[in-house]
Amino acid sequence: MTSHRVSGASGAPLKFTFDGKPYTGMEGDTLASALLANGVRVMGRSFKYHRPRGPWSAWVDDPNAIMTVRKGAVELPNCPATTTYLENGMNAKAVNAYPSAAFDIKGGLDLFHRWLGAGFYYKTFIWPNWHLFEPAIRKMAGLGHVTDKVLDGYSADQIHDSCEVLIIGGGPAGLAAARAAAEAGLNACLVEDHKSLGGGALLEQTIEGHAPTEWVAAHAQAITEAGGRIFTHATAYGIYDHQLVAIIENGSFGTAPRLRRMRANRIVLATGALDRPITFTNNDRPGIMSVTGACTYLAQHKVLVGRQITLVSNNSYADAAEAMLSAAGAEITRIAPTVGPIKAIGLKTPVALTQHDRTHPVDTILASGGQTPLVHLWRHAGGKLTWCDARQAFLPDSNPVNMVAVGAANGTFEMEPALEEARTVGKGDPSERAETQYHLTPLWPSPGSEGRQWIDFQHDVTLKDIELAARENYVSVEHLKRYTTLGMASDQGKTSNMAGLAAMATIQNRLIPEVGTTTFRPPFVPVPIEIYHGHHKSKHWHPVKRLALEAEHRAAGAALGEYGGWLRPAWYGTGGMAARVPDEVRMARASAGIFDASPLGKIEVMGPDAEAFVNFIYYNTITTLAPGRIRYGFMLSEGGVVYDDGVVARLGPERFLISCSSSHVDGVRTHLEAWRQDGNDPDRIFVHDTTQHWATITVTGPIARDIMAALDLQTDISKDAPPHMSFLETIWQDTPVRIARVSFSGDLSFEVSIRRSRAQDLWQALMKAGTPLGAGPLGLEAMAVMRAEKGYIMIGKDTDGETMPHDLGFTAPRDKKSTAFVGDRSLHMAVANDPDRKQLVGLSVSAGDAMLPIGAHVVVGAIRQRSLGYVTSSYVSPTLERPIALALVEKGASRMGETVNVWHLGETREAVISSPVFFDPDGKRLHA
Amino acid sequence: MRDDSKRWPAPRDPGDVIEAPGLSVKKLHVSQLTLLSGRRALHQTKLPLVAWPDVVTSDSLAVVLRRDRVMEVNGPARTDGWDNTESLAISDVSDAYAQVELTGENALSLLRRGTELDPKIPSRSTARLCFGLGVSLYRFRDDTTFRLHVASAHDEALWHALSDAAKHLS
Repeated sequence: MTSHRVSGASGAPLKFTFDGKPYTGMEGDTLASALLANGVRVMGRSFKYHRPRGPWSAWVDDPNAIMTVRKGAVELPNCPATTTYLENGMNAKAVNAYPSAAFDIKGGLDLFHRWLGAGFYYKTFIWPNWHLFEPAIRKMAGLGHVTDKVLDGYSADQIHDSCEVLIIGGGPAGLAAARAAAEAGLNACLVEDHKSLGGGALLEQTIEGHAPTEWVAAHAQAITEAGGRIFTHATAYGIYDHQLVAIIENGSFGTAPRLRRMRANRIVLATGALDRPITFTNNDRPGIMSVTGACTYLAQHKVLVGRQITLVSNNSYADAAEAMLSAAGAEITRIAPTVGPIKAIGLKTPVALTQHDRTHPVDTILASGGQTPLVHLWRHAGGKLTWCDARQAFLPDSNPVNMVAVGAANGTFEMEPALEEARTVGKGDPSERAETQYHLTPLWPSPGSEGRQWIDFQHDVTLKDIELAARENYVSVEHLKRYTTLGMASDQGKTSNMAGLAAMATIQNRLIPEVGTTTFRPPFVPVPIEIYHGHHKSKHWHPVKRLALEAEHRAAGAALGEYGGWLRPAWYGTGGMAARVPDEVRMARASAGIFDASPLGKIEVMGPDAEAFVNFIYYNTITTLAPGRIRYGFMLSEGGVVYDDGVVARLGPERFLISCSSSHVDGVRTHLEAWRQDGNDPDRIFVHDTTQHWATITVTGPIARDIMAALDLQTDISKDAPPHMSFLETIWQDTPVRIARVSFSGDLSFEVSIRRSRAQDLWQALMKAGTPLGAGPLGLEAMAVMRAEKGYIMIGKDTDGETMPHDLGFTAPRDKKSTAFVGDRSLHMAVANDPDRKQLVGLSVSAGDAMLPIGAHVVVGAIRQRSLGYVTSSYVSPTLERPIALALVEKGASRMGETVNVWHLGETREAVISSPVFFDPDGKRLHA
Repeated sequence: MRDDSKRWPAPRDPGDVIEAPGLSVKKLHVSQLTLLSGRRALHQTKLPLVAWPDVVTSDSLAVVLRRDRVMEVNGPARTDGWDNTESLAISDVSDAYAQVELTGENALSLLRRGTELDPKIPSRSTARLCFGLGVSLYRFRDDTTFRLHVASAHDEALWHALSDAAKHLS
């Protein structure tokens, strides 16, 4: 075995399998470290060419070792082997490989790489035919497979939190900053993505005279003793507005993680830096790893990644790595990559490295092209970057609000100045970036080089792909990324970004900072979608509002459905909608229906300016409305489009009650509040939404008055007292009730409102009075049929985003209202005066014909049909015993009696345009 | 229209409680809720005002909703409508809201699963979004007891959200 466990390791043994073979790891291992300890090199296959892949690094910057992991009944796809902690009984399988990562039958695809370069699939759009290749490409695309199995109990917790200082990164700089902050009396939180603290500290021989583990433990203890909090195995993966940091807290395998939404007054970024790969021929082979990754495996897991190691580095950090690995028993050869091109030899593990005419036998190649500060989170927060020639890296520049970078994340790579900087910043003092002793020879990809050199290991983006993209003019880094897939998926540019943009800079003969970086976006590491929805999932994504009378409706056998955000009775009894709705309509037309109208808006507008305000809000004139009277009206948008229809009642000189559509209550309340504060004196107008205080029950039908009379309402409800469109308040059983004489059915109606807690009593009293007379509960579907019979519209169903009031036959305010109102100006623009506007009409077909489909188009023209409009509502009227429909049709009002063609899904039928009022056009029943 | 009556379980028993380690949640009954709006509404109630993170001990109180609006809880009877003398808009909203009381050392932790809440960050208003629902939230009697008012029609939704979140308490 090349990679192996060295002495000094301790921890309980853990059994697991990889690609079906059994292995033994150790407590504290990741899947990757355990496999390396067992001498396994090939842990995955690349996305496109299925080239063998081993881990590049030891943590989040590894793009190669991705696995589907199963333990017991839990199986999770796309688990990074370098960040998945080993557990006893795990069964891991490489994604994108069959039957195994070591032997993958699709490995032969690499032979066809000349035809599978960047954007090859885009070119099939042009020639020969995308659809020829689409099935195969779709089948092969992707890594792990998501199943449709729902994991029992996999429910992510979400919690909001806050602190004064959040330190991201539990390495030496993070620990020093957190300790300084906590000891300064600040509410400090430290987040570290490993299970244990230390990070880069563990790669040191000593820190401030102490062994690294002792130094780390002392700092952790000091932080907690000073009141600081430490979160381990938790990753800050995104920073959002106002210093909101998303932290994913991981648990054991298969348990849903927790999302902690941390609001921090100040953020200290101590995320460290990454080794960036060197671009050379066959640099993607298993056994070619980052220098820091190899040192981490040794320091944290006691795993030496090779025995005969060639160390290829352009920077001063390699010295310490060489010493560390040599001390562990590796034979190290140093190669300077800057003096000539190098090439790795070997397929599934390197066997040699060539430079010029020299060949060095190896079993492992460690590479470092320089340190790249981890600035992803910095950029999430809107921080700027600056190019540092000395470090050959982008460093944090101007600060996002209340955010500071320290340590290697800030380009302060040396331990002593990093700790000093961290402590200063932790206390809240300003700090200047120190001069660096770190030195390196610039080393970037050389376009035009021979051989295949990888820029993005995960997506098989090579240097030649970058060159191809440039030739095809995808020169912007954002275009380059999308054309080549460079830096996508879990890599998010961690390993590939710098090499890619440096190559593009060279090709264009520009400087690296002139090319710039792609946009950094959360999440920094892959996170399950589960953490985002929290409680808001399934039916609770948008919970329905519940009626006070729901229990009564259920007892009456109601079918309940969601209407405008409320759970409401659609119909009652058994037999289904088709049978029950016509019966309910006939019942209501013959005797009476009792209908739960509680969701109707009950928004009060009060104050000295209430009259002028309501008059301004409504299309219709409201100033002439007398107390105790009700008026039907429209609210318009500023564009003059009908936003809501409903009635407004005047309760007093300075008090109005707006009864808007059930589904529009929240919107209308907001609409009123917005206008109240815009152009009006908000201290003289007040809006109270009392909708949910009142339950409303409508009694509608020819015997509605008889039912109402049985209630002992202590008021005269005989004919014309109250008249249609009037409002009165009275007492029923010591409880205030409101009675509105308005109708949505076209029949005599009483809308009775009572406080929610008494709704059940009123419902039962009305049912008790109505049932012997043939009345019964009326569902919303039946009410929808009845209102269509009468030609009453439903906003959003019989109107669209262009419908203006005059399209519905309401022209007077537009022509005569003298005071300003919302939408006024728009009603006089050219579009509003277009003679071809769609207008509301009825459509009639013969009795016995099928009803017209909703959405069917009214068309003209025999060969090239043109739509004049469409059917908005359509029913078979139980009252008229024939189909009826409402439609919006061009010049509809002037087409009365015209026979038109109605087209739907290839079938054309005839209908006659008529008045939309099919039932009781004289209104005798309404005023009965 | 689909029959969704089974998709949404029937409303719970109003006597139900949520019990979890360090937490008890129950529904409360209040006799009177009155909405008062006016330029000086905050000065026109005689009841103790409660904002965040105030702790009130009186059963009668005035919940501050915004600079010109309070909701009197268990306050005096008032006549609905526009009070020209006091320049106050008055509405009885006793049944418009359901009341929930959370108590215990984990009550704050439970609430934090639905809303961003910090006793050290004051707010003049008690209005918040909690689990996506509009509520008025304040502390009552002590540091570990919270009361909130939620729109009656959303009572079931909030209760479900609290029950769900309580499962994550340990």
